[in-house]
Amino acid sequence: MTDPLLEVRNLRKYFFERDSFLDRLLGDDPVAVKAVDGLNFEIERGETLGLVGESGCGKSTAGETVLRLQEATEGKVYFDGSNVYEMDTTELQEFRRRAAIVFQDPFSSLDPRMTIGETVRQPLDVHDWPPGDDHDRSKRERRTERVRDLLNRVGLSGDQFDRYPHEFSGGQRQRIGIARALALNPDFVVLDEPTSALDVSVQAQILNLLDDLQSEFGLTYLLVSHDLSVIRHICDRVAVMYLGEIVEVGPSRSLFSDPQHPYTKALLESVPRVDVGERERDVDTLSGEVPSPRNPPTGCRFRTRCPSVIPPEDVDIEQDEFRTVQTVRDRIRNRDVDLSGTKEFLETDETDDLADRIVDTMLDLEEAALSEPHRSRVREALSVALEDEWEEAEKSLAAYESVCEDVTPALQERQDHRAACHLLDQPAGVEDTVTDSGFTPRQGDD
Amino acid sequence: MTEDILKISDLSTRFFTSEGQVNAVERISLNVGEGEVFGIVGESGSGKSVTALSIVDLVESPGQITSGSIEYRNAELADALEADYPDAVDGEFVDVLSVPESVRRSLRGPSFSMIFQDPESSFNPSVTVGEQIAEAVEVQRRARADPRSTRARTQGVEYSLSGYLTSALLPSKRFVTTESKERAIELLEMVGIPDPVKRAEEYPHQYSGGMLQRAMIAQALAGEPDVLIADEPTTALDVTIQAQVLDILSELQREVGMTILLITHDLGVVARMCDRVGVMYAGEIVEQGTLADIFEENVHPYTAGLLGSVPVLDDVGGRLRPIEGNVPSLLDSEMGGGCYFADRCPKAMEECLRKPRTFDGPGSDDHVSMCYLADHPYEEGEALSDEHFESTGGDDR
Repeated sequence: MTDPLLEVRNLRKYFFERDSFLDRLLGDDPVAVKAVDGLNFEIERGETLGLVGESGCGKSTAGETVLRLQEATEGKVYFDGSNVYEMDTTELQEFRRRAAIVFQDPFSSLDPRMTIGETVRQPLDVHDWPPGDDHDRSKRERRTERVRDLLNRVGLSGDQFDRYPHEFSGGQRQRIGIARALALNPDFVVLDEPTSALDVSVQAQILNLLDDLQSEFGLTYLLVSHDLSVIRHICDRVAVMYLGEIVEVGPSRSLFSDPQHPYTKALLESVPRVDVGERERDVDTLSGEVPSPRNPPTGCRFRTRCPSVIPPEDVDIEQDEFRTVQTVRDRIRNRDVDLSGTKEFLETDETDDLADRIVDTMLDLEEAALSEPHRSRVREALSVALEDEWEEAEKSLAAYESVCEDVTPALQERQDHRAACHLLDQPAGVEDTVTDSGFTPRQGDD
Repeated sequence: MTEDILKISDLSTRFFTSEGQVNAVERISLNVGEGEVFGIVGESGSGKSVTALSIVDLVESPGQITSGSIEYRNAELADALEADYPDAVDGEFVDVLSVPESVRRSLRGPSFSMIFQDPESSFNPSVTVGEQIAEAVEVQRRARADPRSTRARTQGVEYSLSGYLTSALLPSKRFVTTESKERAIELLEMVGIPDPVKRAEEYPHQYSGGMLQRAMIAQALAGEPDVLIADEPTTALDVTIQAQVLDILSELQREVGMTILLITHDLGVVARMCDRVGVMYAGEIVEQGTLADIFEENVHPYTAGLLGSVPVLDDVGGRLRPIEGNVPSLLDSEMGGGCYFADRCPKAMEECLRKPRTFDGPGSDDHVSMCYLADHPYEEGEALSDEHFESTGGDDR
């Protein structure tokens, strides 16, 4: 059994909208935006864990919450054995010394009125570095010397101590941000999209620098990024996030060469390769967009875009047809069929005929044909919905209920990494062991 | 090889700022064939966006196109202009830089159309998306009906309070007609917006980034342009959405036979979309050729450096080979007379202190490169030492 530096258990971070005093007076209920919803992972010493996902999946929030820059709604984060959220002031200060962060945007994360020397020295001042007394030199001298060393180490010149951030390019500013993060000799650094504001040639310089610093100082990284190539390049292990949850986690080699979750597969496929044969490569693009984290889909959150939703066993239906039926069901469930608008658009009042035409229009939009008997069932449901009998309509399509919308898939051990997808249980012939706890104990990962 | 639709030669665009003259685009030449996708790739500040703006004549003061020609092939237009501007017409080609501004303006829409990088800031937040697209359709329709009316734009009146009141009280006076609204809905459907009837009535903030980018493509298609200029069309988008938008662009290009000039910093996008590519550095096109020429037969060390900097997804780690240093300043006073890349170049030679001409590359017939290495191999003995650059920003690493 290994002894991880950071252990995250069931971490949740919700942001509440409509939560002001006025809203309460008016009787509005707060709406939770579930930015991070039940994360479990651990980072070994000296390892780099990548957190990858599309914008809005909660990866940056996760990075900040782990460092307690945001208070968690629920869950525990153990740093070197002690829970970050239960630390008192002294312990927290020690934690702040050992854990640092490099921010995404080097243009807004440096104070324009401080010289870069002051910026890098600030953590030393705050933590009263160095501890103890050296009678030969004042603390100020030793701090200045430390800052110069740091600047040199990240590839700037110590002579630039007295310059202001605006005198530097994006890549150089990011180096300053890195120097600041390293000032107190931390063990753990969260890198929040450290290169996404930079050009590729400069990005490569920074990635190489981060790599060198890691081996030199024995750093442990949590790299938050949307760029799969960057993640692939520097991470030992990767966790793929979708709508606040980890859908797949494992060593980067096996995760990239043999992705198990349909989302990971689609994500990898969507990245354009720098290769002459790229135009001929078939890419099955994911349809639709990421749903809102205010009201995430039930069960598996990816199911609304998933190319391989599992139909119920007793229904014989093609995948794309099933997709269409699911879309109709979701829209009925969310009462999202604009009947009066459609009526107007189709310029008809006859309800009977209308259902048919709505089905046609919808199918047209989904670009999918629907064969019998599925078509008439959908039509039936829509005509019931037309009479405002939404619940009836929902029930009439209940036969299409998929396991994907019922049960939240847990991370299942697969190959040498874990993925949360219902598909995985079947090929292995595993009985349906899915629970709602969302986490299975770690077993000899790596 | 198809016939060229756009021939740019020796185009220079400069900005006259208080800090001095900035050579954003420096004597670039390129030909774009009809129906092809031509990619311009480069890092920020390399002049690729200014090149695009120069073509559609949207360079704003203090910027100015100072020399060169942009010839656009359009037989009808050439006929129409032959009598008035004989100098501007050469066979079927018209040099758009030597015709008056009113003619250039009339080309925006039916000839050239542009998609911008940031869809959020390119739409008017107080007008529905459908209406904004319909407006573009309407402008084009009126321009076709009466070529002299190209100035019949809304000129902001539509969006003032009195404009709103007028259009509320007198619907017949609205700029946008029912037909153009219907066309707008068709266009939205064409770019794959689900439920376009409903979405047309929504405001930009109700759209996601990917949807808004599609809406912008729809708007750009309103005039049925011959050449679509896409300036970083997917940079603000997530990869899965990027894949969708790129698919739409290639589909349109195949179906309508549209020519696309694609400007991007992402070599993956270039590989996915482009037939031919120009690599820009410090305002110049340093290497140009087919996709294979650039990716596999490149001679310019900058092209090689750019390719070496990209972390590759299918390849197991290892060190990246970045280009040392930063993109140089484009201030005229700081630009020296040699190859602009020489101070970062791992293979700089003595002769690089003189500006290289354009040499033929080893790849296809189209392959050209502004580097002495295309002419003869690297000679170690002539290598350029750092001393040559001491005068110019030595601490700029």
